[in-house]
Amino acid sequence: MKGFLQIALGILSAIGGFVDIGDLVFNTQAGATFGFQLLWVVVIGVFGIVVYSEMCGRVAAISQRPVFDLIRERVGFGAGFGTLIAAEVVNLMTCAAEVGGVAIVLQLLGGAPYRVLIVAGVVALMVITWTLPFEWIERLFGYFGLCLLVFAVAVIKLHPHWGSVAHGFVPSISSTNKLVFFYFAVGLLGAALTPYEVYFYSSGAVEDGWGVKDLRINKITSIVGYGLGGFLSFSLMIVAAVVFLPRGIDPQFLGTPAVGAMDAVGKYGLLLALVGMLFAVGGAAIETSFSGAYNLAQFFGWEWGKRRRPGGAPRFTIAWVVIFVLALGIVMTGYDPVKITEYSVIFSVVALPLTFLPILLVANDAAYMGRHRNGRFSNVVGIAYFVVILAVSLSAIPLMLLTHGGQG
Amino acid sequence: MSKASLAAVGCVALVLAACGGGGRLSQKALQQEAKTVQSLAAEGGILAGDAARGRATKIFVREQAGFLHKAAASSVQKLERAGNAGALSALAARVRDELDRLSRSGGDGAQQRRLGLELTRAAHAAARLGKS
Repeated sequence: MKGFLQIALGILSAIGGFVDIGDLVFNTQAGATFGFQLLWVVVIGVFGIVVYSEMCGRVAAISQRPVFDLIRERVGFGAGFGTLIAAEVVNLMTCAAEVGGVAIVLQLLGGAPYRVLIVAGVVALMVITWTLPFEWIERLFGYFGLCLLVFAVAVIKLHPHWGSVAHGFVPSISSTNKLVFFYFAVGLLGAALTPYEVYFYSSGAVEDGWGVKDLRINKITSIVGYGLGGFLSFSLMIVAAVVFLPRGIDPQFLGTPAVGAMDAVGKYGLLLALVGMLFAVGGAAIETSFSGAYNLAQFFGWEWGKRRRPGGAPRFTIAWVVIFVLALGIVMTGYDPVKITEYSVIFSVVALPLTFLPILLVANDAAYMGRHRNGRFSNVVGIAYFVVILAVSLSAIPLMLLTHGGQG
Repeated sequence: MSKASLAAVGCVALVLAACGGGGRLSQKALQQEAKTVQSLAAEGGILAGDAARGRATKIFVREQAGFLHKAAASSVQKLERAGNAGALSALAARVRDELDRLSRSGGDGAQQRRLGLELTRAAHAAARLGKS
């Protein structure tokens, strides 16, 4: 019974924690631009994060070591350092976007000035991170993030043409605006396959002391949790396709997805959407700051872990504090968090191969994994995904430049 | 004047021309701007309509309409500077003013209803201008 409860709680927090500002922005923009046509890309992205998270969790459970520790050992200092730099840049940009997102949602909920809310939001996030235990942070943000399920209710209330929705899950390419279509496809994959999620998941598994007995929990949490989390992405896209596309609305503001929930469900729908968005982006801000600190600490061999008191892992603690402060500085310049999100997602796509190749290599290495190394299925799927990731990574920046960030 | 100096002067002239922003907008840029105005007006229309029916919080209407107003004001500035936007420029200015009124409408349901209709009409007009 206790094991079942643990799995259920893990799944719930994975669903609630799946969506971040990248998903909110790209799924809504994609739905408003191409209707249901890009739903199949979300399926590919979600399946990818399931496959690689399962591998990461398994590696952590068997080797008792997190991903970045193994990256340095497996690929050497030079390549490992390159991966570290790329990961830290993307983490910082994503953290800045999430911090800006927290301030915007607080502004939409409470109406105080934006810059005051940026500072208040970062201070609140740092206090929560400092004082709450790891599992409470996961649960707090994961469970309140479940308020985003209001978008699923909105889908039902909007009565979309279900035949067209189903057709969106069949891979096809838009006959018009092909480049913009590919840009959004790349963005959706990037939003689903964010590297920080993988680092955070793997380090969290080590923090939770996973071992061989937890491999089942790892499999169920990654498949069901992320799988159902993808359901939220579908909902965001479908709401945008029904509410915004026919009216020619191009969602350029973080509050626009909430307008979709409000139009379908009313005032309570609006409030649930805003609360869900607040906890989704707030949780992701903490995850990105932690992920950055985990990477640095694991690469340089520092003491790390949220389970230690801040004084027990001082350099790790300083690292996540510094990441929050730098993110605060970036957002205080006044640069639009939605634009930062678009750039951070596209740059994270560029860094994806550097994250996923070492995971694939280690998960397939009998010296580390023994009899728990990748089976044939994991390898075939993992390699196929790696080819997709490589192609997407090479095309991300040219597509962003050619389409002026999806504007055509 | 040496070749290098000529090249430098040419580069400076190009940069100044690009930064001046006083140039006329191309047909494609005008169509893009019409789409922006349509999008802002249409979102404002939904917001105003839902606010009138008591389906939105006052703070959300004020803040989201404020974001839309700011974007509309930037679009108006761009169109006025270009000088060749004619009807679109006037329409964008109307949308900007209506979004400003919406952000300050508080709990005035009658005004919100009227603004909702006007913004929806403006969105249709912008869509027509974008196609012409």
